[in-house]
Amino acid sequence: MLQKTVADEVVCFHCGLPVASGERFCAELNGVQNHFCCPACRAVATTIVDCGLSSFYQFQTQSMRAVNQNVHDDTFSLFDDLEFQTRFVSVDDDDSRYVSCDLLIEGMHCTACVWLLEKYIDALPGVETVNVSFNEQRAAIKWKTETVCLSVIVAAINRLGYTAEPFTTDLLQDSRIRENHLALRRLGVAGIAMMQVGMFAIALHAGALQGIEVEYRDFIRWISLLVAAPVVLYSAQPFFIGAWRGAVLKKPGMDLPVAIAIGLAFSASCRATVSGEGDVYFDSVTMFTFLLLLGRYLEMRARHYSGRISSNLSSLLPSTAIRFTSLSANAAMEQHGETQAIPVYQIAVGDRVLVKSGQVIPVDGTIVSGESSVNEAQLTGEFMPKFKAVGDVVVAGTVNGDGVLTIDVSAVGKNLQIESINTLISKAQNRKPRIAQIADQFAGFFVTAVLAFSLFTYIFWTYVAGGEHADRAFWIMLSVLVVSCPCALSLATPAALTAAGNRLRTHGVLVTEPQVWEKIKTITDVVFDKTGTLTKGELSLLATKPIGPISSERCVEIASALESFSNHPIASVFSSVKGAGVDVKNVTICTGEGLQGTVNDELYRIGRSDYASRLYDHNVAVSAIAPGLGQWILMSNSKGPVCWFQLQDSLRDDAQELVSMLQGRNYKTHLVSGDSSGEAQLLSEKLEMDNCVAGASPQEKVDYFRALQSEGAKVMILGDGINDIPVLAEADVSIAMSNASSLAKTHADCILLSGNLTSVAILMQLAKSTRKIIKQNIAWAVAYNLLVIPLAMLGLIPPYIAAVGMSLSSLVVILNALRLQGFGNTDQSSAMQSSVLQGQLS
Amino acid sequence: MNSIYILIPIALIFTAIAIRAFFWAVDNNQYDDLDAAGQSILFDDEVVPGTTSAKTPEDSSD
Repeated sequence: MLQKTVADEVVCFHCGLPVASGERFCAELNGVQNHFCCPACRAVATTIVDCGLSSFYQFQTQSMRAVNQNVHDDTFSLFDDLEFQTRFVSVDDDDSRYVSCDLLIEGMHCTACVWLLEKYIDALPGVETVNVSFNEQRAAIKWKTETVCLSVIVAAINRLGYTAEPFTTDLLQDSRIRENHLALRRLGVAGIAMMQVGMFAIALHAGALQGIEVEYRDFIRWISLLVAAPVVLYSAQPFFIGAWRGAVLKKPGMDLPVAIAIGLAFSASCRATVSGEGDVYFDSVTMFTFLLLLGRYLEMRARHYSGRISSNLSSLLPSTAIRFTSLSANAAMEQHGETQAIPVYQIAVGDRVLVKSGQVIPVDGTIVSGESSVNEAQLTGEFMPKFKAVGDVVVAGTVNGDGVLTIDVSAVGKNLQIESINTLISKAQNRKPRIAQIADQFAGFFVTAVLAFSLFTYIFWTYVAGGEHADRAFWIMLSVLVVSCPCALSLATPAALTAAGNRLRTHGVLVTEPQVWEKIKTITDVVFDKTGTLTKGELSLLATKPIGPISSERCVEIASALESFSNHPIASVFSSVKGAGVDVKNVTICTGEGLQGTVNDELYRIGRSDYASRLYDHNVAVSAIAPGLGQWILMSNSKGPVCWFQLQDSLRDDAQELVSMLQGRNYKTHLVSGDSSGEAQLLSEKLEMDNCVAGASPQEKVDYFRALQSEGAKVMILGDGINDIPVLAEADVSIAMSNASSLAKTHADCILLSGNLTSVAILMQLAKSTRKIIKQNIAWAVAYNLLVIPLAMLGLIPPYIAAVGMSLSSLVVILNALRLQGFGNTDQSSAMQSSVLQGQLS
Repeated sequence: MNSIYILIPIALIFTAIAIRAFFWAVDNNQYDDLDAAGQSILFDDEVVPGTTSAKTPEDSSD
């Protein structure tokens, strides 16, 4: 998203966030004075420029994220702990002085980050190689143990504003890498061999026309056989395995005729080579194999790309924690007790851990001292931090705000709440019904028919026609198999889906579940989540109600000046207003309540009404009453209340557009939200949605869907956040917003990376044209087969024409599918495209 | 035409070398990240640390 730059607004040079309070943090970089939002951003930018890596800022395609405030931390030393290292560090086989490990890098946003990390880490003395993969968010680092230790490397990564954690390969990721490598090897062998055999085939065809001595012809045939053999025996293995599996399960798939055609054509060509009679089809065999493997490889890449983000909730957790070494009886002394950083897996129930501000809470537990606002967005999708004090329960994976907490551990490892959510997710996934694809059923029928036809053809030509025709029987049968090769049929759907997927990706939409294309047609109801989906997940100022003589503009200015000292989300509401001529001194922040400061020699408080009203009236019982429903905060001075501010989560610009469009197309729209403050109803009325459920727990959301579905409705959901995942899995089509936590991304059928709701309209439109293209493709494939199979059975098509026809047929299918990716769109979709473009530009 | 008995085997040797090289590239993760590699040529290779200096008005701990 492009940063909006208001004329007099200063944005941070590093992270692009607005700089609230003028010239507090600045640095001269390359002779230019730059401003920063915080000391952490300044430290990172200074590091980058000092190392001569300032071109990073030219190349990055998006602004950096704001830097974690704990740039300097003492937990790095833990990375040198040998026992901790055994879990992810491996010693080089050849030279034991070198060790290597994989680190999970958080905070990378474009390939410029890859460059920056590689250059910076590589320049450290003792680092041998460093390899950063953007796709996997991983850095593979090899270093010399004598010269440098891991903690130095991890600290260096942190200096650049990224965080490093040990990269734990889960089995899924491992198998993906292996699958990718194997597919590439098969494809490469098929491709290289195809080119060789193709050249020999040209020689053979030219020889057949001009006359070639049998000696040379046979030599070239033998060489072709030699080159084609690895293609059939190695590259085409998946087809044979698939065909065998299909045959064993008595569900013949697309692989069966492919395997039979490859197998028969190859063995027939081998026979022809050995006996010196008949034709060879090594070129057809290799080309056919290569084209099919290519299609499968592209499909697999698309599948892996969408699933690259970690598939496990536990990756939210940090790998280290700070534990108190001795449990002191004096609770007040806790924060000054002896502490030690240890790996999280060594923490046991009953331990007492310290969580500094900005850190991810590593365990479930109860607060025994300290208070802070805790951001549970990763678990609940709600961005507003919750205030937590002594006695409150905190959950692993949530982020500690501005306070320091001491926690008594109540659960670790498998007993964490986050793990139970994991279980819920996998249950929901298993419940997902598998819709058998029509194409598969048809293919089974088609395959059986083709096999029967070719057998019939062989018998007919051998025994019925008899005589001289009997010699041709085998080749005519092969013609039938080759010409009818369901290549076009099997490519019809995946080619269209791949093309449509690529097209959608340019609009920032990722489709992870291929059945979406088919299912989206049946959708009758669209369910929206509120926070982060219909709304931006950012607060804005809705109303200002001054109570005293001070004008509302002045009130906002004072509030802005006060809030510029706070990092709380509420502060961002006022950050667009400059507190001109407002001099703020002696600011104190009361976590979870508000803040106070001296403005022009008058003490002001802003925050929760009971907190602010205590300033002028110590009798808390008569705290000020908010003037209406919704979320209100109060500003007061010693004389009395000054002003009420109403805050609201602002609606996405295109929410109204999408909801009206859906209603125009007779979809029912629902709003289901976990928020119980009454905002959901207001929003639902404003957007004129059909139905609204507020304050719903995840289980209630699931129940709501089941009720809808039992009435025959097909439900599409737009959601956000991890507590939506069981719900997302329940829906017929699920769509996650780009700022959804990484897990929601992995489990939704579609992901809106652009954050534009109107992309949903593009998705629906494209799904429609994709279905159309698939139908055309299938119609073409069927018509082609119906036409040529009888001709081939009559012996009118020689095998080489059959091979050409088969290739042309699949080419038609692919080219038709590519129309989805390119320009052949209806006016409607291009109009929507332009509206989305405008949305991105504004 | 007898030359094909020599030339074609030579071509096959090159093919084998090409496949071996391809396998090596795959095993060395050369194809794992196709996005970053494509853009990396746009970045400067030569980096001389310390050629530019940055000054911070408040602290100069470096």
